Amino acid sequence: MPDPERAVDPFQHRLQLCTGKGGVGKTTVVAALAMEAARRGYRPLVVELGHRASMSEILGAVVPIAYEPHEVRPGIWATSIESEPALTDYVASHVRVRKLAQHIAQSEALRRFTRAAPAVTEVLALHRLRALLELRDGSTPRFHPVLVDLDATGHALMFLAMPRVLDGLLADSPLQSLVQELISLLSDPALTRLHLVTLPGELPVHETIELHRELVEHHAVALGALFINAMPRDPWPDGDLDTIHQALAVARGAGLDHHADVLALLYAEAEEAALTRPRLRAMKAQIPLPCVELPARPGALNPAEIAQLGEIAGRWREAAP
Amino acid sequence: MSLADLTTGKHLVLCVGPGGVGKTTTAAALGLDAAKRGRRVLVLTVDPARRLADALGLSGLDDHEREVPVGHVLGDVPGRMSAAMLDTKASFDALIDRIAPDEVLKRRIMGNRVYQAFSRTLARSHAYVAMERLGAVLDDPKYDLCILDTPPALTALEILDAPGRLSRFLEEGILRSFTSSEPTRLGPAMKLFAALAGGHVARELAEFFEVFFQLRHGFAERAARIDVELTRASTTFLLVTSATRSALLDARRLSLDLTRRALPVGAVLVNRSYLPHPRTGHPLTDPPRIVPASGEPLTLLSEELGSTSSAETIRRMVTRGTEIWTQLAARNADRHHAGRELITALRDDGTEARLVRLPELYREARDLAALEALARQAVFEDRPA
Repeated sequence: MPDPERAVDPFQHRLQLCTGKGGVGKTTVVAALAMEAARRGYRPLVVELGHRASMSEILGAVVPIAYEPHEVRPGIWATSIESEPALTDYVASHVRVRKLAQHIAQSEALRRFTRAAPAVTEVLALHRLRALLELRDGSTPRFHPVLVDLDATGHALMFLAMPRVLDGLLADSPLQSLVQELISLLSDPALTRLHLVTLPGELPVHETIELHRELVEHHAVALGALFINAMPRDPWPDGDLDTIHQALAVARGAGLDHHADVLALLYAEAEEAALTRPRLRAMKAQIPLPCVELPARPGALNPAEIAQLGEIAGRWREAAP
Repeated sequence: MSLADLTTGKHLVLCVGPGGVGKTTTAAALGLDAAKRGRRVLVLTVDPARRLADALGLSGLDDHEREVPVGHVLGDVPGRMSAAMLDTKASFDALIDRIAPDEVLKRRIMGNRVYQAFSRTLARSHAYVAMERLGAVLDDPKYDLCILDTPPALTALEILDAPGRLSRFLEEGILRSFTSSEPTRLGPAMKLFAALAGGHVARELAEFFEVFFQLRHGFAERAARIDVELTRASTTFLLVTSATRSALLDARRLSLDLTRRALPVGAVLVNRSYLPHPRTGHPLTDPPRIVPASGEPLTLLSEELGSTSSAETIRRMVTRGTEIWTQLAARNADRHHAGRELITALRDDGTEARLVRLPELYREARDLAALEALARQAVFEDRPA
């Protein structure tokens, strides 16, 4: 029974999208959330927009990720939304006969149009995403949660802006209902969460604050959690930087180069950590979302380590309404 | 060796690579280092995130080319450096302005809703614009080197394919099926499109196509020109990546795409590939041997420091510093290994590329001094045997 004191289950939201600047580890967070969802007995579907080599690698997929959703490792399904089959699907939803739809979708004119016109790929992806959300087995949705690895910040914003850009152009269009539905889906806090992924560095933090502002001001989208990836362990929890610096200066002066070098490295790391803490505090103050810090791990992550990150990532909570 | 060696004899350098690896900073460092050799450099970035401005100390970097104040870095060298960030809408409007034959046509296209959506908001427009701008810049006698920082693209080399795609689409046969000789009627493909996407969109699109059709020669010429430029000996592709697994995988895909187009990668720059030694700046390797971690030097240090630090505190500092050193050296070794593996993989794919390792900086490079340091600390490796 819902306990008002107890936080809300982070996997209750059916559609969860991750965005953030390139290289911050969106794919890792998506994979980690998928593993944790699977561990808790959900049936997660990972959605890639266009195939990237890294997702199957990070997930430890045993079969390739393709357009049709497959169980790529036990308990986790994945799909890659490619434009050409998505175009066939789109045409097929308007032309009943599948063969005819295929014929139309493969017509040179339409294919060249799809490749040249910028909006088409995004519309087709949104159409496909809706179809994936509508898949059911009996009365239960086939996939829950649907976890989308959005492209880097700039593209993600364009993707989210699509419905609004097209709105108004579509008065008599069959796309109108698609766009309307997606607008309400993205802004429905009961169904959707858009997570922000970042790193503790200066530029990613700065860009994440900007991204959040942009999202709040211009996009009606239900925001989820803020994930800070690759949080380093505190190099010198004692805190006192001056002490290290003094010891370093004395060692250098005394010609104890080896000691000085080691102290210089400790100082650089401790100083970096000292700059990171207030930076993250400022970000959290400006982004009022539940925040999850994911620890840095040395080297490439194996699926077991991703699953461990998932246990942490799955702990984000928002206050019960 | 320095970064400028990668641009010697080149007029066009395209930095390609996955998102978030520091492409923009690398492009700026390449530009600055070339300017130090007397080149007249333009760095063009198309990244929607405004990073280059930070690195160059130019606030409000925009669509206009601006000279970066590099005088104090260059001294007596006659080099120059400019930078611009492509604004999709501004560049598109400028393009239409250049190729539209008259005011009426220009106004019609700029007022078209599809054009507005196309030029302002949509991902792929960046690719068209970048290549367009390149066409204009390469003719500009102000510059003898253009460094293009390409946007992170979902499909690897979108940016190279965009102009050709647009001009192929604008070819007569295809476009004719979308437009019609009678303005009130839609072409057969447009009728199909109207059924799929709605009559209103179809009519706006038809108008858009009709106007673009009149501009097709301009587009085709530009696309052909860009194709020629990309294959010149004075053009080179630099693959910028970081040493993370996903970036390396994406980097290899990009290289494969380039190889398939007979546009080989000149060098692979692995950014944040090593943490430098705090004193020498060389890649950090094994920690210095401090045996034992107690004894005379520690006593000496603690005596010098007086009451502030006991020998015990200093011993803990040295121990912790050594521990961190060991971890970071291991990370350096992993990243070095990953870079070499990429080079080996590229060689298997038929590309011989030189490996260049760039340091990981504690502070994000946001001034010219930091860019200079980045260029100086580039480590060139011989091609693996």
